[in-house]
Amino acid sequence: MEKKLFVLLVAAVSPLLAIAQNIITGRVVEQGINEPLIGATVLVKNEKGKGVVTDIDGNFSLPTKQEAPLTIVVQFVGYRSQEIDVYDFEEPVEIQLVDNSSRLDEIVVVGYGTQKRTQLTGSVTTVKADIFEKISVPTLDGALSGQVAGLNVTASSGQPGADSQIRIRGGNSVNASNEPLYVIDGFIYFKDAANATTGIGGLGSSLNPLSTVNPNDIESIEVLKDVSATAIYGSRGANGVIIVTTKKGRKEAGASSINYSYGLGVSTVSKKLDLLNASEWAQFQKTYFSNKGGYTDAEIAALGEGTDWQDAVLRTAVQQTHELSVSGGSEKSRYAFSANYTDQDGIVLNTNFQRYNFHTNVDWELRKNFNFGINATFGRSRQDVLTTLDGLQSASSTSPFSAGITNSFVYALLMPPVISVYNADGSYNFKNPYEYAYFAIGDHMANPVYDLEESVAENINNYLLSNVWTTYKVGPVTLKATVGLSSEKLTQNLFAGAYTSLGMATEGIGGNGNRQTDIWQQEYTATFDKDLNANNHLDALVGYTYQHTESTYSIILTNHFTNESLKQYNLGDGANIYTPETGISESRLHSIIGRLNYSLLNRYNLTATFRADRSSRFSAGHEWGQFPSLGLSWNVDKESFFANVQRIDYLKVRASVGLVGNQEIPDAAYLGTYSTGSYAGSSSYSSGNASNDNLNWESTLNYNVGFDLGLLHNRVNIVADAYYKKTYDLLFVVPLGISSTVSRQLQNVGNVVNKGFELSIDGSIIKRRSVRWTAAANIAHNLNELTDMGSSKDLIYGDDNQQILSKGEPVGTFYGLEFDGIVQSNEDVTQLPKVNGNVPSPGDVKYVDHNGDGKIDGYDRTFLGSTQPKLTYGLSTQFTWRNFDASVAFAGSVGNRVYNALGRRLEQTGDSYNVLSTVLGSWTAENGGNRLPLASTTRPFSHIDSRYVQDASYLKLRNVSVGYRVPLPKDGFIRGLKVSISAANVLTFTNYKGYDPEVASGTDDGVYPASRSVSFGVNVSL
Amino acid sequence: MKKFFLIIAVALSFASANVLAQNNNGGDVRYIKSPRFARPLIEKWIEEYAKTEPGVTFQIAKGASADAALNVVVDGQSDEANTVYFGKTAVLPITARGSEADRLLGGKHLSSRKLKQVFFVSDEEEDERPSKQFESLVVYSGSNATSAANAFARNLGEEASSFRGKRIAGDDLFLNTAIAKDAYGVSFNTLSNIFDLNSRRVKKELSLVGLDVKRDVADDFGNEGSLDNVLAALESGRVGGIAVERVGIAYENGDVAVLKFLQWVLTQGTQFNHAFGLLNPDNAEDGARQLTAQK
Repeated sequence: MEKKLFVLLVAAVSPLLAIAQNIITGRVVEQGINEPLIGATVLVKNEKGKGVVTDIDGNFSLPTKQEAPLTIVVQFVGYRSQEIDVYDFEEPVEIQLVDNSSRLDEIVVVGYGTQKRTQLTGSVTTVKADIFEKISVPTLDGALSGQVAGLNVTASSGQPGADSQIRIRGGNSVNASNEPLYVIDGFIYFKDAANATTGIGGLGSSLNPLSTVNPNDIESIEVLKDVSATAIYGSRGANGVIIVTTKKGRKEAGASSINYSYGLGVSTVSKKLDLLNASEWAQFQKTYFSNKGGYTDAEIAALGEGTDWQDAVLRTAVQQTHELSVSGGSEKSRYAFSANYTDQDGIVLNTNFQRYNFHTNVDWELRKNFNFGINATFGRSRQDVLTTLDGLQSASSTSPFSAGITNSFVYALLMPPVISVYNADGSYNFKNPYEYAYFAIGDHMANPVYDLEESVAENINNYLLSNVWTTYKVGPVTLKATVGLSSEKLTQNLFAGAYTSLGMATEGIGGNGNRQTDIWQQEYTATFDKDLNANNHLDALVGYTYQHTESTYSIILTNHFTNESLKQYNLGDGANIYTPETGISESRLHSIIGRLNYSLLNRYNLTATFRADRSSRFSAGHEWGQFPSLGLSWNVDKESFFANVQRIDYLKVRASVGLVGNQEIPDAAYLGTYSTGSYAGSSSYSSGNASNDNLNWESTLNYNVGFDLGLLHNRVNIVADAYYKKTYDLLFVVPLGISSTVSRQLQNVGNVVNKGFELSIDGSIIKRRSVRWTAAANIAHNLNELTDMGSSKDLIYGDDNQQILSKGEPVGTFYGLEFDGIVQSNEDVTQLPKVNGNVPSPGDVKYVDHNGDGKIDGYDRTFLGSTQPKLTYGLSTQFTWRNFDASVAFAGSVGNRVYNALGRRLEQTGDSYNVLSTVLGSWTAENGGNRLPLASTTRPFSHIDSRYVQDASYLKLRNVSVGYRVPLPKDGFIRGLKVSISAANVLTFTNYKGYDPEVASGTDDGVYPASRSVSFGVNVSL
Repeated sequence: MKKFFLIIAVALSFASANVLAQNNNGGDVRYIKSPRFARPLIEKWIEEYAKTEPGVTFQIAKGASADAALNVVVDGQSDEANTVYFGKTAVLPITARGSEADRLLGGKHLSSRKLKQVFFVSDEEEDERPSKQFESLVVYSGSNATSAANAFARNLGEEASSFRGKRIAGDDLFLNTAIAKDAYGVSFNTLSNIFDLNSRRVKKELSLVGLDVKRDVADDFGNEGSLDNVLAALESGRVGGIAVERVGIAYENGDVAVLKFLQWVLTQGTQFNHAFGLLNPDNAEDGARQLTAQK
């Protein structure tokens, strides 16, 4: 009975108990923009309990047993915490937190962990995700240009989906890769060029390996430049490391967020070459050549512009993107999911890049201190590119793609403008009486528009990149195990019919290549992280990692087609079958890693790193490499003697030394290799690389000193570094003597030195509540020099023998004759050196006789500059005024040169092809002229000359964007709506004469031209 | 003994139910939610209106009731179509009388520029750096939606989010409490929270911060001024640069009793504005016509 009474009593007083609990309600927003802050903690000061977190709208409801007045504390990472005295509970509280994030408070992602920026000893630059809101690019490398001092991005071509060449502090190697290492959410991802193609050849571009990462999934990018930061990656750290961290959800209940964005843009070629029109070309033919067309002057005048073949193969291209992302979490878990669709037409006919990408990042707290997570990216990229002869297996030597004509786009530039694209009945015109050499079989000549429209050259990559991890925390020790897989299936399809340039010689050619590359990665680490006492912080890491790579490929190629309707899907129609190719390559890398970070008084910091790698790419006895490093930093501003220094808020000096390696050579390159083929109806083997049992690691000894400086209340931040890198035991392909059965061998020969400095400045120029203006600038100088080549002599290479490896010169040095003008009518030709045994005539080209032997030949060639820029720089600025924002980004380089092979080809006069309008200024007896010789069918001198090794310094206005955030009701269904417009590749200032000064290879033989684009975007958040 | 427990339980149950019943908008009771600066006026209206319309009961809503039929709001806080404005309130800066802040600001006549320096984060940079002269002052501002903070900030071309110092949650009346506890506290408040409505003088624990106003009204805006003189000066337009905001009642359309009450407020109720520290509205007649049309 008493129990019943007790229950009754409780029931009776329960309404009173309920009202005895006061409830503080309110909303937390970010000051200035009034955006709700999701997950801010609100608690009653001095009251036990966990407090509450704000929901998706920033609202909170905090019960308390205390009576007013009381004090609540509002906290949120990155914001200044706020205390508010609460005097009554009647009205909701509106709380505005001030963004307190400072670059110096940053936590920086480093290899296998994170570190406070103030305790870093290495040179690490962080690029935040907001860059991808301003610069709309399908791959992350496109946005990095000009953003990081010492990181030089050079687009390989304007082809959508093509990769870029990235160099961090110059290139260390000659024959091994110079690309940095990528670490994507912990998965080590190397841009292995060998895995980007099946080996089928004939395709003008390969897919950018980074196209598997959707830039909008990225939270931050850390660029690790010096050895203190990169040594933890040991044999793969020599070229620098780029760590990509993708977005995660938030571990708070109800913190879900939905975001959709759409972008639509158009692209046009950023520069057109000035070619002769029909009248000019016909007149030129009549003046200098045989006037094959038999035009009278009146007919020539009537020809007018004729066919602009450049316009005929170029177009205004449309691109669009859809992006949906959902993220959120609960107290014990968080998730982020995104789906992306990109469809980007190229500005050359029938070229395109298309991608479907799905990404997810999920983790759970399964038990206390026990976490489990998965991140995975799955997708499909497809790229339609130009066909080319380059690399095409067993290609016929009679194929038209030779003599400096690399693809159908280049051929279009050469087409006589008096030839039409189409016949009167709308069919393709295959008649071209001027073509008699390369692009003609019988009475049928190639038509580049048909080539581009009807040929197939496609790269299709289905990929999965996934990582599964678990951590268990025991006191200050965190144990972590990670297993990951990168699986890519690359398919390359090729088809060029009998009427196309590529297929003409073989009555059509078609093929299919497949490559399956699987990389398994396992990592097991233990981290000890603890403040030992008020003055000492220790963070130690030990671990073991293993990576296994297996790549298999197959190629089938046939020609002589009788039915082209199914193209590459009916290769059996090809009567002639090339020797099929299949293969496998495999590599293993076992590693032991260790790192010690120690900080004393948050003032003196030390990082000691060690990694030992065992790579299957080297022979027994040479498999192990040890890579140690030591980094020190000193936060000078925390010293007592610095207390009276008013103008400097932050000063840290850094120094590091260490050794890193490069193992990025083909698998089993130390072994002798043979390739299969067919000979007289039987299979055959031909020898390739000679074995080298002593092949060892390429190692880079690296020194770095630098400082970080904060001025004007840290509104101006300066980072400066100077470095010296010496790469020795270069992995060098050495030609062997003719007595050897093989032509080359990979050896450890010679040294390359890179030394330079970097300077970055960023500042907050205006930081008012409604107006913000920030700017950042960086500049880097790098001096590259091949300081030793062992016993090797100078090595000349390139299709036109245009480059040389020579001791004392940078890698990528051009080598050729020095142009000395045109022989004029009144010149004493007897004083001039002879060319090909002949005394030059007026109108001939003159070269400098460097060896003074009275004749011009290969011994007069000299160094003509190199592909290495002396300076690279970037400048960006962002401006925000109320709901508007704008950003501008520039990037540039100084001192690099490009061999303009296309320009050389287009200034070669003859009676078949069109030429640049500069040819109208060729030397004549009447008008003179001092750059181009008298027009004739004489082929240019076999050696290149300095006219075509051109200064490719440039300043590019990379991006301009303007956005407007539409004001919305606070509690509406739509939480954010932003519209934006951006333009990419807006302006280029350069003296380079070709399409674009950015040519990754350094030789512009008609690479896909760069485009300029304008895009409109809309972003909706729910 | 058992009976005793039973009686206690039943009694408590009734008591608690009665307390909670206030939140139920049942019967002929209409609740009015109001910040405290307007409550004495509202209470006067209720008293007077009851004499003419005894059948309908209006009461001040207490606690965080969301069911009030009428909400007293200041300009811009509600939908204009369902709000009638019955008066205006002025907001003046204050300190605790005799405090260090009072001593620091004593004898000064602050211009709008100086007021901004005292009360707001510098416009030059977001870091909170007040001018050195006023560095030691601690600004207290309200963070409720009905706080006069919005009016005070808006009048100086600022936003409420830009106040320096500390925030309080709760009615603006508690700003007076906050500065009383902090010798360097400085704040602002509405006239009815600053002046004693009986004596018509500034509350003895408060001190008005001197403002840069015309000489002939300077004394009225000092500690010896009277509420009536301040109201007269403001209504005459002789004083500029003072934060003045309209005060209105937001209502839900469709309740005839409410509309009738509001019409009374606009035609009869405004005669009490001055007595309770509010300025008269500019166009009460327009509001009355609006209500007539909705009935």
